[in-house]
Amino acid sequence: MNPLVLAARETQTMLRTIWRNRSGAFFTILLPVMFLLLFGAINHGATVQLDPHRPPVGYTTFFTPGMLGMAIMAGTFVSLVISLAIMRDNGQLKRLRGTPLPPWAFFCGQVASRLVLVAVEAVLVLGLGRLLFHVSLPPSATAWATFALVVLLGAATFTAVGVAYTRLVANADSAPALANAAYLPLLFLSGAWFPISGLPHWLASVANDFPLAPLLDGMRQTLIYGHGPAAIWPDLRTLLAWLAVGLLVALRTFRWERTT
Amino acid sequence: MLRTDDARRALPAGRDGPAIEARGLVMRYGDREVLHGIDLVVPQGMVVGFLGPNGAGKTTTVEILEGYRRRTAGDARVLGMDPATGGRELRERIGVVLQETGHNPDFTVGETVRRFAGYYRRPRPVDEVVGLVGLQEAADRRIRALSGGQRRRLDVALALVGDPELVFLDEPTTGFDPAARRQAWRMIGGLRELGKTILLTTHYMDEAQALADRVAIIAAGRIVAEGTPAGLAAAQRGTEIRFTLPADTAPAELPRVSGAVLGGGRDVEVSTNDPTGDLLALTGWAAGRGIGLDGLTVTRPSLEDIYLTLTSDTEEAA
Repeated sequence: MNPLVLAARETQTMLRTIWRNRSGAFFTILLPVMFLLLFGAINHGATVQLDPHRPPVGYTTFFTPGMLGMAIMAGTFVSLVISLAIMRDNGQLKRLRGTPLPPWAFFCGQVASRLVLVAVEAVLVLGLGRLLFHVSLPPSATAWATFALVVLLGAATFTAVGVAYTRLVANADSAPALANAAYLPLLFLSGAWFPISGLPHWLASVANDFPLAPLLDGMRQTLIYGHGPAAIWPDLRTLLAWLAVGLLVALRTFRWERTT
Repeated sequence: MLRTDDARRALPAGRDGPAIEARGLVMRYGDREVLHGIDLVVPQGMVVGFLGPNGAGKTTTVEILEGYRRRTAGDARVLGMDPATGGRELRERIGVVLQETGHNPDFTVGETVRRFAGYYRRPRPVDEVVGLVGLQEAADRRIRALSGGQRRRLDVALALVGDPELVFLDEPTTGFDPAARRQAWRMIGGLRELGKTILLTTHYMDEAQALADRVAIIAAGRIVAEGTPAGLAAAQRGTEIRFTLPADTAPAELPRVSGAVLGGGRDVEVSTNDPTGDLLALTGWAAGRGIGLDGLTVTRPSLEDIYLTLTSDTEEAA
């Protein structure tokens, strides 16, 4: 069996699973869109001082990438932690391990299907932000490419970190709580909703070491100021480091069976 | 449905060795040893029942052979390969039905079988496999809507879709009602006709008696008996002859028999390896004296009797 065909089929299977269970996708796709509309309407006209050396930007311009970041983390990290814990608990993973399906093909399916979701989400959030709130879009082809790179890298990073994180999840019942324990604090500390300039310095620098803050910053720098990859290298570096660590931990510690 | 010409093609020529051969399997978790040297041979084309109480080491043994666990010591060959390193090549050729395994509830039966068929080099046709486990009526139904028995049959379908030479069935009928169990037995009988080798783990002695060509009984991490169901029964315990003597006849007046006479009162129990001879002696004696042997029964011990004797012995020893 051609390995690429296997990976493509697994992707299709996962997309179908997501489609069949649309209430789960709601959290990923529609919640950030709803927040975008809600907070965009409430704070329309407000401004945010993102860079002290530049003029303030509109709140919706600040908030739109925030909601995209939220969607990326929910759609990769949170969704993976919960669904892998369920599949591990009820033996689906163990059954798959007993077939000739190579593990990497299984994970390709998990990752690629979520990247498709993230792409749909990005189009939706950016499109609505542009249409309703006239948020700025990347001004050049380089900025667009850099923006896409940041989004993809962020999604890949949260996927790897999510798979690694399942090692800490004892069972499916505790998975949502443990996933949210990482997700919700990061959302607020990393400035998805509000600028984090008010945070104590040490807390902000802790937040900057986690992958959500560089993802948000990278998206904002490319969307708003049209930066290329060199200018956002610190963001990319942090994301790459998390991606590498996440992959390594995931490969070494992933469990196909529940612990009894 | 069961095409025997397919069965012959499914058994490649030149593989004459047993499907499973394990010698001295030892499994230790930390300093707790759960398998103390298991020997197990499953010849090609046979159904071997693997029996034992919970915690005896059945699942550990089977999971070593399936490649899920690495043995601490000993030797194992499954279809000629070491299960610890057989990897993809081994999994191409075995089918595994685990205990209670979940499915993707939003997929239909047909989609699920098709998905798994895609994992193998030479899968059996999906419709054929769905029919083999009797799920053709439910093929378009989502798994969410299936009964427990139907899900179990889907488990079996997923284990068969790769057209394996060797199938591991771990308690395939636990929780089935009697009708569903009979149906499952017919299905497993069908697998035998396809030429599959089957290692059947079960708690049910009647299941082993009905399906298995040979059985192996494990207790406290050791194989305590191995053989055909009938052979085991005969070897382990004699046939029992029971009757009640009339009130005016003392047990001491009984004729000499080859078996052991148990029970001091009027209720007599003879445990014998020569039931024909002893029965002739006893009935001849009774007829000659003109007395009746009330409630005369001759029982061969069932596999269950043997199993309970063997496993209780080791529990006491352990």
